[in-house]
Amino acid sequence: MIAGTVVPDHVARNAYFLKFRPVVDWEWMLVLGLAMGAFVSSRLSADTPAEPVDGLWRARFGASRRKRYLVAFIGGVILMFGARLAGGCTSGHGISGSLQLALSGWVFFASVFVSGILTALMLFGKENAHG
Amino acid sequence: MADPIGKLALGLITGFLFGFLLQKGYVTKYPVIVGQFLLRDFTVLKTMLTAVVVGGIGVYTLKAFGLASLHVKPAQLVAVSIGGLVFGVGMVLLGYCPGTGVAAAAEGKTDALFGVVGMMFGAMLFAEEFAFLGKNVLTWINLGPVTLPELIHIPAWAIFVVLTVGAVILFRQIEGWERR
Repeated sequence: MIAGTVVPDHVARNAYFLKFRPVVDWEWMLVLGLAMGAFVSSRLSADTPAEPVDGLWRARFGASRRKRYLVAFIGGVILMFGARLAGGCTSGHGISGSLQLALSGWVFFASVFVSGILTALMLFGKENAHG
Repeated sequence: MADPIGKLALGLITGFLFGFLLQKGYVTKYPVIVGQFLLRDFTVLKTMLTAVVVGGIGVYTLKAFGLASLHVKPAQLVAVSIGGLVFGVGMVLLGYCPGTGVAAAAEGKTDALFGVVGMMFGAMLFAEEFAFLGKNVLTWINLGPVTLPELIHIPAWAIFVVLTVGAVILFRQIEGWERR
């Protein structure tokens, strides 16, 4: 939707958007509601983020915000590319798919855990794993 | 507007509850997500498995009374497994998944906000490649929208009995690991 307003020509020519037209549908409302719900919950319980760079990250990679934000950005790119390729994410495949006992949901669930554990061990080392 | 107003409102309300409960459930926190993959905090697995067992029994019960229908995604095994592997790398680097990332950004976590912007770039990057991938990876070993009961010829209720008992045993075991 944001891309649609910024670069309409580009989006219009795009195969992905030809198949999935970017309009305000119930799924956009779901994302909007999700943000509102999380905001209200965190304010109600005064559970607001204390530090810009989490302690687990800081102990391993230092306190640089720029470094953390850059990796978060790159992580976001990889995350969504994977979700598009798989055709769903933690909610769509992992929870909604798995609870319908869809084969695709369980394959996704397993793949994410295998890859996530290996990535976490490579990033943070064995000494940080399992208590 | 592609959907009627009632459906949009239902989406907003469902989303609000989902976001509220994700935040309450502690899964909008970086150390909780990364801690899961370091096998020292099992909040993510406990949340997901509980949702699967409770939601699954609920959905299949509604389906038995004709009140709900399944929306099963096709088992494009190569695309789903490679996508899942890529997703896992992104989830650890970012420290959130797409839903919890949006929730964490709304709470005011700047790293999650950078992640959400990254996600938009990821979606656009994929859109560029979609025409090419659509004819290749997405079609390899596609079993269609198949479910486990259809695949292994075991009724859904029996699978949920196994999942429920399995989850209870696993959670008890995990509580022991986490306490150490």
